[in-house]
Amino acid sequence: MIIGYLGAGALLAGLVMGGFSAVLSFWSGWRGNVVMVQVGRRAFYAATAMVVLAGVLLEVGLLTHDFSLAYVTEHTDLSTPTALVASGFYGGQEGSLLYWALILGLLGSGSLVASAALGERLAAYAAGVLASILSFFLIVLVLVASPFDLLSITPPDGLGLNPVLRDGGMLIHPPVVLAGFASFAIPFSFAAAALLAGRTDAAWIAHTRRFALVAWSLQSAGLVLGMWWAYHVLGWGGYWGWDPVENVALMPWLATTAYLHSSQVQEKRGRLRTWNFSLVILAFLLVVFGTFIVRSGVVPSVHTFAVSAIGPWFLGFLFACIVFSAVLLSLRSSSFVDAREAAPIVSREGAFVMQNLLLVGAIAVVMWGTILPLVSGMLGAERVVAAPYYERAAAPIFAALLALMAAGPLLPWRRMGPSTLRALRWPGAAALVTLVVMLAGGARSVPALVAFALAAAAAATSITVYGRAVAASGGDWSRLARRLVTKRRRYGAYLAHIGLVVLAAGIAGSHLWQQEKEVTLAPGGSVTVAGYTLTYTGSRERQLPDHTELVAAMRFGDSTLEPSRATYAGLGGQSLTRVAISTTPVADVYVVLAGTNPDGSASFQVFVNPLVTWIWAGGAIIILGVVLGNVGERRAAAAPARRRVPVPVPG
Amino acid sequence: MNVLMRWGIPTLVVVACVGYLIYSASGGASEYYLTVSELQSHATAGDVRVAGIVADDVQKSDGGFHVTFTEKDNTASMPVDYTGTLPDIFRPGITVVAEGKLGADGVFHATTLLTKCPSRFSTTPYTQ
Amino acid sequence: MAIIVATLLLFAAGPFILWPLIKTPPEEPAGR
Repeated sequence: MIIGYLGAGALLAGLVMGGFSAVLSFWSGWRGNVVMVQVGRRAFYAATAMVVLAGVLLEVGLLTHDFSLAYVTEHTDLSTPTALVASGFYGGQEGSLLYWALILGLLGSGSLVASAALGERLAAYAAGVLASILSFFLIVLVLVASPFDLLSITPPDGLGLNPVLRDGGMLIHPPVVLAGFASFAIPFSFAAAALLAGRTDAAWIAHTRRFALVAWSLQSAGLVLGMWWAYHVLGWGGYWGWDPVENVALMPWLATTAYLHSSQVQEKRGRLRTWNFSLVILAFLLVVFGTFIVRSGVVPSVHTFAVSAIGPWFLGFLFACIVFSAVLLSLRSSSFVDAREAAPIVSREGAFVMQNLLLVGAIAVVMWGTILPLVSGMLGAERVVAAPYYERAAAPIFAALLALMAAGPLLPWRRMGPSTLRALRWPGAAALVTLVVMLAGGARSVPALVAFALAAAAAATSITVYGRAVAASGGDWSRLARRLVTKRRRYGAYLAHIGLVVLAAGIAGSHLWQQEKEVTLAPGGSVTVAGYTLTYTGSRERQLPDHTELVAAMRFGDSTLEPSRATYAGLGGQSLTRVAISTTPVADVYVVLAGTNPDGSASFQVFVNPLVTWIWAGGAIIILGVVLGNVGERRAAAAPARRRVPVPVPG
Repeated sequence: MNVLMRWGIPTLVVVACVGYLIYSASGGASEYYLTVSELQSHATAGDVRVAGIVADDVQKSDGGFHVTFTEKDNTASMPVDYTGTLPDIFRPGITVVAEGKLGADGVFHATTLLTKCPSRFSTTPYTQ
Repeated sequence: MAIIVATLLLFAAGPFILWPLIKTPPEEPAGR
């Protein structure tokens, strides 16, 4: 009970501090009042502290089973394992909003502390934008969706967590994705601040890029974790369903991918500033849009969303953000006079612009599929699209992006020459060899041939970059090591490229070559799928504290796979699938137990998913590449002397 | 001006391609999303998705690969016939989206059943 | 009740937030 009052009080105090910080930061930035800028920033730190306090209180309430709190009652019970009780923090509407605010406050505070080199005016405006966003979340938390609402009578036990959600994946995937969403607010705030202050110099680029990279990495991890969880837990044999919830996590990631590349052009040649600002702003607007879609119930989704009270609030916030961004961009981007002239289309810069166009195209494809139910419902009969739409529309775009990954890094910044064509022979050869091998192996599917040929080409290009490093160090390992470390941003990026190629190959293989069979077997019976033979040997029932398990044994080569179903008493006989997977780098054999029959036979769904492990491996390599490439980069971009960035327009 | 001329055409090409992709992909692949009563009042050719609640008369057979049940909403109900693996959550009382065709026999032949993930974000309050 | 808690927290955080104001002397050259 006390927790309820303390928590609500902390949130209210945080809201006051946040609002104060927003107003003061904007005012002091405008007036150039350095002392007030610092006060405004401290108010943001204090608001963050309030959110941290509220978070701690909520967690304490959960862990002490304080059922006087409605939130604790709704999401846990006395029998729920401790780890899942703790994860209830971000498991429900109100708690996940608090978690969002927490990440926003912490990352935002970190970004402000690190912004010392940017100048007080820029830092002030950034603090103002960050504080405004934080205040919005706090308004919603205080007025509409408080995690600290009290029940008038404290029940003896809670409602508990549905068994489907009782899984390790629940512990990791949601907080990473939520953190990813929240983190896109940071680069947005600095982009808005730069537009307000009229500053776009090297220090700002480095700072914004660093936090965009944090957001991108979190979101990458969140997406891959989500795919891993869906594949291993949900038991439908796949890892991505193009559900609105998945789509809204993907779109900001696509925009930020474009930004991370396109910002290099701004760094090197001072161009594409309008693109870069637009992409950073777009990423955040997509996040707000996504949050609205996901929490309002306006489009059908497999994730239950009751039409909730907070929908209209997020719609209003989205509208405000769009207006704010549009006004800022239109007022300021006219001042982005590109001092240099555009490079030819076939050049490194050209490749980056193509990449921007293609990724925005991909966002448009996903966006259309996501909002079609909403738009069509308003205009007439509601229509939805399913996976085939996304595949048909997005696959060519992703193939084109793979081709860019193969050619772009080898193009010079300015003019093409004979050496460029020579360099392109590596990816060209890789693609050709892959095609020949696949055709010889009997592959005839055009999508598969295209996908793997392009993936091989992109991999070859990335490896070429490393090859050049080896050549340039003349066989001297310590020189090579030093080179890799000094230019780690570059080599880390190409490692991430390799990771993405591996991931793309995994998606292509598991998607295009998946085979599936539904079969009912008597004990001793066998089924063969894609050359893999499984034999059903029998099943047994196991009684555990809170559920019974029906386990079937399938002999597979030397090992035994044990797909099972778990039945939880309190849930009306509903039983949950536990998938059994045999994993090799070549393919997964994935077995689902559909059920057993009175005559002793058992029904199974067997999938063979080639190259699925490449998806998880690719994701890990991407993260490794990003981490290694950016570890310890303290100073704002080690500036090569030759870079000439146009003089910033005074604010 | 230089930029516009140099980049205008490639941009238009990309936009046109993406537009074409979206148009051609959604034309064939989109389905109506209806409630049970809407489907019964407007017979629709082609595959549709129908949202409703599973009634109490769930009958499973064929090792769990075949199920018949009644899907209903506030005003209408219809029999559904589905062959395939059942989603875990499937049981009477839940919201389900059936994808398939309404047959001449009045039975909805579903090829896919979609159920919703148990609520994480619903604001169903605890009723005392 | 929550308002009381909030007010107390605001008072507690006040000095931290206003520190730059408190530590600079009242006469201060116009910041830039």
